[in-house]
Formats: sequence, C-alpha cells, structure tokens
Amino acid sequence: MQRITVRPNIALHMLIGLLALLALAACTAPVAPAEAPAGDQAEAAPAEGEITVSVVTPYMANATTKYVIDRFQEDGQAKGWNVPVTDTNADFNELVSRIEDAVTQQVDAIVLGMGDPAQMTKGLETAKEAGIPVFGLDAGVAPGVVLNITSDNGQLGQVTAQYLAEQLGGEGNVVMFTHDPHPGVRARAEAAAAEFANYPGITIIEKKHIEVPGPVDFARSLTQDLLTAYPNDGDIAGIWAGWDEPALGAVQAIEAAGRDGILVVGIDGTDFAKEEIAKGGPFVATVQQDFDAMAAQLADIIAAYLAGEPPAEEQITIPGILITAENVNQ
Amino acid sequence: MTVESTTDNPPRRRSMSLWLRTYGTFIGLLAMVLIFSLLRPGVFLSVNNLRNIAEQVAILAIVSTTMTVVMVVGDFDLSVGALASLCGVIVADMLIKQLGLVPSIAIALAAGALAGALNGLLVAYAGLSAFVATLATMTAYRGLSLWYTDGSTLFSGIDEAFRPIGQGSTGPVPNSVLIMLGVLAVVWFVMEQTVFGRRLYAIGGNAEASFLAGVSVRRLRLIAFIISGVGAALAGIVLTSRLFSAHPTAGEPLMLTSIAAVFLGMTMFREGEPHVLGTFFGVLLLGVMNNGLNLLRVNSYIQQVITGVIIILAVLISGLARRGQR
Amino acid sequence: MRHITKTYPGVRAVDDVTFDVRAGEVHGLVGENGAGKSTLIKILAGAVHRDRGEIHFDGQPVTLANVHEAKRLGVSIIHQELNLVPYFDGAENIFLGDPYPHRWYGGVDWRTLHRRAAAILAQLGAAIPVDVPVHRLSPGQQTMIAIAHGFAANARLMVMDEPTAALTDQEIERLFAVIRALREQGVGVVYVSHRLEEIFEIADRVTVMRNGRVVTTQPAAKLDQDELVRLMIGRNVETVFPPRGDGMGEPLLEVQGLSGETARDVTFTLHAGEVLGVAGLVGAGRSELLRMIFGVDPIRAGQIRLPSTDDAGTSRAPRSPGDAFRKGVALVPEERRSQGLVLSRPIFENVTLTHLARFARGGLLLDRRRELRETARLGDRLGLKAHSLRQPVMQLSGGNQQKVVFARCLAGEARVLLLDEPTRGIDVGAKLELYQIIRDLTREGAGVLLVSSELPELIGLSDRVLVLHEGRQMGIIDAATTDQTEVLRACYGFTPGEINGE
Repeated sequence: MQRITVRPNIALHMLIGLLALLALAACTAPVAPAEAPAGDQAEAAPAEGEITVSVVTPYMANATTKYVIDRFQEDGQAKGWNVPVTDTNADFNELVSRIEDAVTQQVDAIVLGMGDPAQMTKGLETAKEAGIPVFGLDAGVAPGVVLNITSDNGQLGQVTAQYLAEQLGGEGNVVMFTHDPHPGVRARAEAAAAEFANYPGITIIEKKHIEVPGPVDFARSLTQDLLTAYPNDGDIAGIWAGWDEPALGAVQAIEAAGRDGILVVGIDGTDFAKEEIAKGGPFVATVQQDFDAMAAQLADIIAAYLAGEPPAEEQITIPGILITAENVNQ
Repeated sequence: MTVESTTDNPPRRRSMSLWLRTYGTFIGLLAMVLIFSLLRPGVFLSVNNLRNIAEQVAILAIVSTTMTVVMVVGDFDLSVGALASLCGVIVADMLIKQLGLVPSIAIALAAGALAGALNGLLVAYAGLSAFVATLATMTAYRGLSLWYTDGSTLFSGIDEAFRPIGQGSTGPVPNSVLIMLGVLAVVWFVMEQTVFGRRLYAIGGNAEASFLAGVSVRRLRLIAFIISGVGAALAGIVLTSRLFSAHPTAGEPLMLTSIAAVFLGMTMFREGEPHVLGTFFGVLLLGVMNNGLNLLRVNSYIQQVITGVIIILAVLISGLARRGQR
Repeated sequence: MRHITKTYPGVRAVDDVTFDVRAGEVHGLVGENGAGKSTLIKILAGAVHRDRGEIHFDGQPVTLANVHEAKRLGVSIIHQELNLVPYFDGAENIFLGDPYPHRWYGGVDWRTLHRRAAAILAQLGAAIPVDVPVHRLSPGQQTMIAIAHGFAANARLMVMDEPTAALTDQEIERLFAVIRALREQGVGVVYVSHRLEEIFEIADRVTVMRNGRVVTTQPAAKLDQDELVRLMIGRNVETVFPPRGDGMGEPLLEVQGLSGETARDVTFTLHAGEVLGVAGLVGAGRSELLRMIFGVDPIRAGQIRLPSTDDAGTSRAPRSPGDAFRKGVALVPEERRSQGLVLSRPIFENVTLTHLARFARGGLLLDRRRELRETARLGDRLGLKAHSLRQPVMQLSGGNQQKVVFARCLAGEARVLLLDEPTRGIDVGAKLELYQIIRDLTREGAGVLLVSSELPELIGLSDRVLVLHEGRQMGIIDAATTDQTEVLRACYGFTPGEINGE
C-alpha cells in the first residue's frame, strides 16, 4: 500500500523544516568522514602499548590544512604511532564532541589541526581533566593547550603586505580579503594592515569578509562587484588576500574583466597559486609556510613530551618563505 | 471559523491584499533596482554590471530552478550543494584524466541523476521524510567528494575546451547565463505546459487525493528528485568551469540559498505554491541585493543581516496578505 | 438580535435577520450552505462585526466588538473542527485558558484539576475519562470535552456548528443527552445541522434561513421534515429519491470471497443500471471493500473480476487507482477534502487530473482550452455552480466540490462507480441533485456501489443493500421491500433471515 502524507500547508511545513535544519545544523552536524588512510586505523582499537595521537580539525577541506596534517600523520606514523584524523567541516561545536570522543578513547595526545582553541574550551577542559595533553598544529595558544606550533601568521601577513606595497611603489588603494573567525587569518590581516600603515601612500579602501565554504566563487563574484564599484584604472591598485583561495577568485575576476594594473597577493603557497604566479598574471606573490618543518618539529616535541620532557615555551613559530615570479620555479 | 463560511462567496476584500501578495516580491525587487541605480547612477544599471549580476546568479538559478520541481511536489532536497560539489569534482577529474569534454560532462550528469534517484528512492519508496533522507545523503555526498579529492583542490590539467562553459560568452551573453536560461525555459515549460508538471502540482497540493485520482505519486516524486540531482550536477559543472578548478566543498553555499530563493518565489505566485518564474525572481532578488550592497560598499557582515531581514520581510508581507484575505 | 445585516462586497451575507434564543432552549438553525448561518454565528462569536442592527444579551444592548467580549458575555462556539489541544488530557482542555489550580510550591494540582473536570462532566451527564490525551478519545467524546470547556467557562449561550458530522449514532445519542442537560442548566443552545431528523429530535424551536434572510422561526413540533426541506430550498419536494431503474443489465463487477484487513468473504455481483448499497456500522469494512476493489487496500483472499472490460484478459482486479480508472472503475472517496480534491488547484485541473493525457496534445502537452471545454460540459451536466472554472476548488461549497469529484469520474466514462459517503456534509438541495445524478448514471448503463451512513438515503437510493457486520456479509436485501429497522438490525449482526423468521 502506498504511504502518503497529506500536507495542509506546504509553505509552513517547509519553513518549519528549514528552521529545524538550522537548529540541527547548529547542534548535531553530520559526522564528516575520516581521512581515508587514517580512517581504517581510527576504527581499529589501539593495540596494547601502541601510542595513539588523535588529530581533530575543522578545516580538512582546505588544501593547506590537509597538507600539514598529512605531513604530521606521516611523521607520526614514522615514529610508530597510530594517527587517526577527524574532520568536522568547519563545525566547532562538533569539534568539541570529537575531542571528547578522543578523550573517551584514552588516546595519548590530541593534536588540534588549525581552528581557534578559544572556541573549544569545553573540549580542552575535558582533555585536561583526563590528563591528555593537547597540542596545537597551526592552531593557537590557549589554557589547556600544551604547545602550539605555527608559522608566524603575523610574519606571513607582513611579508606579503610588504611585497605588495613595494611592488606598488608605496602608492595606491588596497582591498583586503579577510576571514576573522579564523585566528591565523585574523593575525595575518592585522599584521598586514599594520605593515600597510607604514606606507603613507597606501590606503585600505575595503576590508571584505570571505565566506567559506566556497571562497573562490565568493571572492570571484565579490571582486567583479568591486571592479564595478571602482571602475577606473588605479581605483584599486592591489588586493591582499588572507589565503590563496580568495586570491585565486580575485585573479580570475580581474582577468575576465580585462583590468590591468591590479596586483594580487595570497598566502599559503598552494600549487594553484604557484601556477598563477608562474603564468605572470595579476597573482604576484604568495608565501609558503614551512609545513614540513612544522609537522616534523611537532612530532618530535610530542615524542619528547611522552618521554617525559615537556616543552619550555607554549608557542614555537616557524617563518615562511615568500614566493614570487623570481623563485617560483625553483 | 468553519470552512463553509468562505464558500460560494465571490472574491471579496481581496484586491489590495491579493495585489500585495502577488506583486510584493516583484515590487521589492524593482524598489531595490531603483534604489541602487539612484545611489550608484551609471554604475548599477550599466550593461557590464547587469552582465555581472546575471553571471553571478546563473549557477544559483540553475540549482534553484530544479529545486523548485522538488518543492512543487512538497518535498525538498538538502543534498544539492554537496551534490554540485561532487559532480564538479567528478567532471574535473574526468577532464584531467583526458576522457574528453562530452564524456566527462555526461558522466558527471549521470552521477547527478543517480544521486538524485537515490534521494527519490529513499523518499518516495522507502518512505523516509525528504528532510531526513536528503540530510543523510548530503553528508554522504560531501564525504564522497572529500574522499574522491582527498580533500584537495583539483586544478591542473583540466582540458582547455572546458573553459568556455563557465567563462566564455556567445556574443555579449555569458555562456553560463545561456545555460541558466535554457534550464529555466525547459523546466518552466515542463512544469507549466505538460501533463507531467500538472501532476506534480497536484501531488504537492494533495498527495493522497492525487493518488486516489490515479496519479502515480511515487514514480513522479522519484523523477522530481532525479531532476533536482541533474540540476545540481549541471550547476557543479558550470561552477567548476567558472573557477576552472574543483573544490570539494565549493557548491555547499548553494543549498540554503536555493531554498531561500524558492521561498521568496513562493511569495509571488498562486496560493503560495513554488513556481519556476517566482524562483527566478527570488534568485534575482538575492543576486541584485548582493551586488548592490557590494557596490554601495556595505560592510560584509551587515550585508548578511540585511539579506536575512529582506527574506523575512518578503515572507511576512505575503503571509499578512494571505491572512487579510480570510 | 434584531435586524442584523452584514454585507460583503457583492453579497449581502446576512440581511435584516432577527433572531432570538431563550435561556434553557435548544434553537435549531437550518439552511442550505450559503444561507447565512455561518456569518450569523461569526457575528455571535464576535469574529465579524455587523453592519447594522442591534444585539441584546440578557436584555442589555451589547456591541460584540470582538471575540473576547463575546467570551466574557458567555458565548461559546463549538466548531466543527474542535479547538482542542490534542496532546493535553480532557481536564486540561476543559480548563484551557483558565488558571489551573496550583499546589503551594507552584506546581499544577492535577488531582484537583481532574476532580473539577470530572464534576463538570458529571453535571452534563457525560462519563469521559479526564486523564487521557484528547486525541485518543472518540470524536464524540472530544465534542463533549469542547462543550464542557464552554460550560466550565460559564457559557450562557452555546452555538454548535454541525457537531454530529463525524459521530456515530450512539455518540449522537450521548451528545443529545448532554445538550438536554445543558438546557436544564439554563443554557441557551443554537444547534446548526444539515441532518434534519436531529433538529426534530433535539430542537425546541427552529429558524430557517435562506439567501441571508430568515424564512421563519417556529416551534419544532409544528413542522415536519418535508415542510422544513421545502422552507429551506424554497420549493416543493415531492419525492426525495428519484425512481429506481427498470432492472439490471449485464454484470459489471464480480466479487468472489473477498477478504482484507476487516472484510471477510464478501461475494456479490454489481450489474449495469443498478445501485448496490453497502450498509454497516463504522469499522464494518465498507470503505475497505471499496478501496480493495479500487486497488488501494491489500486483498488477502478472493477475486475481483470486471467482466465488461473482458478483452485480452484485463478483467482482473485493479492494481492501483490509475489501473482502476483505466479499467473504468472510479472512486468518490470518503473524505472529500483530504482524499478527493486538490483544494488549492482550479476546478478544471481537478476534473481533468485523472485522465489528463486524454485532454492533452499528444498525451503530453496541456491543452487548457480543451480541458476547460470538457469541464464546462461536465459541469453543465452536473449543475456545477462556480464563477469560473479557474477558481480554486476550496472556494466552492461542499455540494459543488462533490460535483467536481463526480465530474472527474464522468470524464473517464467509468462504468463502475464506487461512492463512499457521497453526500456527507452537503446541503439538502445539492443532495437531491446528486441523487438524480447517480440515478441518471445508472440509467446510462453504469453500476454504482454506494456506501452511506444515512440509512434513509441508502435504502431510498439503492436497488439492493449489502449489509456488512464486522467485515462479514450479512446478506443482500432488496431495498424496495425493506425498511430501516431491518437494515439496522442486520448491521448489528442479526441476519435478515432471522428477522424474517420472527
């Protein structure tokens, strides 16, 4: 027999559904799949005496995050650890739950793969009570985090801002693409703004929030509109992006509009950014973080901690390398 | 009060409220256009900017149009955003693997149809609510595209022949806009001028009565979901071409925005039913608002607040108008 | 109420109506749909404001400006769709809106609440559990909870709008006992119903409305049913039921040993030109029988054959409603609004829905002009009244809505018509028209299987009556020679043979 529901008022019905969806999204976000190679290990119960270092991240869809976590996973596995990775797809609330899961499983250490630890204090407290150390991998410093290893985001922002300002000859209007909820990107933007302030000829005319997911398309449409809003050559001299994806969107919009003389810089040194820089278009620079060093050093620090040697500082910074047309092919 | 009270009375005291209900959203759109063109004379209404708006809404319009089909039947599809991402990733990967333009696109569209069919089977035949079923498949499709790409962006080695779909123009009109208009025309025609569309509207109005009137309710609901899946796939393909790279979560913002667009459109037509043209106006409203606020250099965060307020206003006005009608 | 007038643009819904209700009186209010009863009730409830005229309550002039004033005065309206909170229990619903008794710590004093509720119900002579969520009560019990709610709020005037529409006969009896109890407590009751026999049973005086005006107000004892019908529709009714047909034609539907969820071993043959009535109490399996034939409800055992469609072996039972329509079997479902019609859609779309492909170009492209033409033709034949065929069905009266459902069946030229309570909630005039339509259809060669809870209608319209008792077939009675007593006894499980033997 066919089961049929009768809908007295579709609009109302669906509106309620939509509200329920939002409520649901807020409290029980869907479980994102674990990384493929790590997933198998995550399901396997840790063997007796085997060390498990659990990685939780809200940003696995981001290429950079993925890269650094992959490196760390390799370095950890090289030390004989079990390194499961869990992604929550930008959901910080769920991140807390995943940390609590890891605590329940009595892992040896938890690594926070990016994401602001200030947004997950509840998870950190749980871990602290259980005596499980939490390390930040390009995350942030907060009570409950033993140590955070990071590129100096401030330095990354400063270097790219400085390069852009110099390329512009210290003159012109600059647009900044930011994403303040991300602490690293916020630090980059703050340092960049401070650097631009050193050039009296540089004016920051717009600071635009880039939405994720979908930052490329968002930045592309936004740049289209900005080009319309500032229609003359020279109205916009440069675009500083907090990471490479919005920079890519900006570059595509500039090229499609055929506007000359607008320079774009990104951060992260992703492959597509390098390809654009090598092509010699508006994309003039990105800065590559030394993720290999970052991941390797964190693995060493955790190994030392587990061997009974806690680190002296709570933050270690690793400087990035500026990539321009001159060194992109090296 | 009782139902019989409104029966057999000719339409009364409806002119004003009906007018508001029918044209409220449309007038909102016009008002917005007027305000933006007054505040940014010569800029907002320039050919270039109008082309930009059309291009910016094209992908959303494709998804929203096919989402309308599902919503006409009284269901909805939360998986479209994740599905658009997945199909965008698939087409990029096929192109990188040198499968050729047409086969790559065909495979991605087929994947969309298949995923839509899965949604439809779960809803129409397994009896899950559309909400639960597509929420679950949304998660699964997102997982698939993350797994497929290993979480990274696919960008190098995409066949150059693929670029014109999302970036090229035919004459002055961007190809993505042509695709959007094509989808719009086909779906409008199917929904308004064919036996199939009429039956979908009947199901949405009263599924049980339609079933007892001999309409194959289950089969048609399944087909509606397949259409939505294909629409999502097409949007994903255009998006991948527009960005000339495939990001495993690139399509995600489409889901809520497309539902919002259909809701906005529902405020305009026929007793509050979803309608293809209404949806298109909803999409335009959202697109024009975004573009205009950018041109006015409004703070990014405030833009989101304004967007929310406008949606609530539109629904409120139509709701008030409907109550006034009683 | 004196000289009340309420005008809507284009319609004078209530025109110079003078109407009074005395304390301790049951006042029947009858009239066809659109006669103005509902508007009058709305004015009493304070939901609609009159244009002219005055209202006195307990001798004092009142404005009745809004619902709250009406409530404060003690006007309580029992709607057809009850205003109860389904998941609250009876006591909570009875005192809904009043402050519940509290314990010292602020919690609700459930025991006192339930005791008071039980006391209220006892005053009305109704025994209903007060601690059960009302959605688990029967429709009749729910109605009484709603009445008790009004009574608890010290209602002086209670308006009941079609309170028996969904009730069984026993429940109606109990409801009447409650209404009599209200009358003894000095409450004035306005009783609106399409069921005229109820009016005669319960009402002291009757007011008849037609076209927004009061035709007459008379003591019920001075009227009889024919007179009342005549007053309502404004012309003489000679015979309520059209004459039966000239006899039965070839068999159209053969049912052999059919069993389902409730129905057990049902066997009969429906012939062309015949109306076969199906009688039974609620839950006897009448609707299920129709739905099994229509391909909706599952068949456990037995066979259905359609001899008239016997070409290329298609005489088997329909597998789905679509299949049934293709084989010339049409159903008019029990619940017109929820099962019969897509209320938000236009008339013509509802009429053409089933056989849409036939009216379309190439079976695919809509041809609205042809649909409208066909709908107009069928509408004319059925006497369908509407401003426009593009009007949403929800704007029509019950009778006209049912004509739309009939038109859909006619559009496919069905020969086997399954009618499930086709006249429920329809005013007298439209009922008579439907009776004529049903007879016309049989004269043209259709066979009708008719389920109706109104025994006079069932017997008067049918050629034969098949009686079901708890799913079992008690027999098939010749309608021309039977009476209500015989059919009703069969419904309660006495075989017609036993009756004859007595």
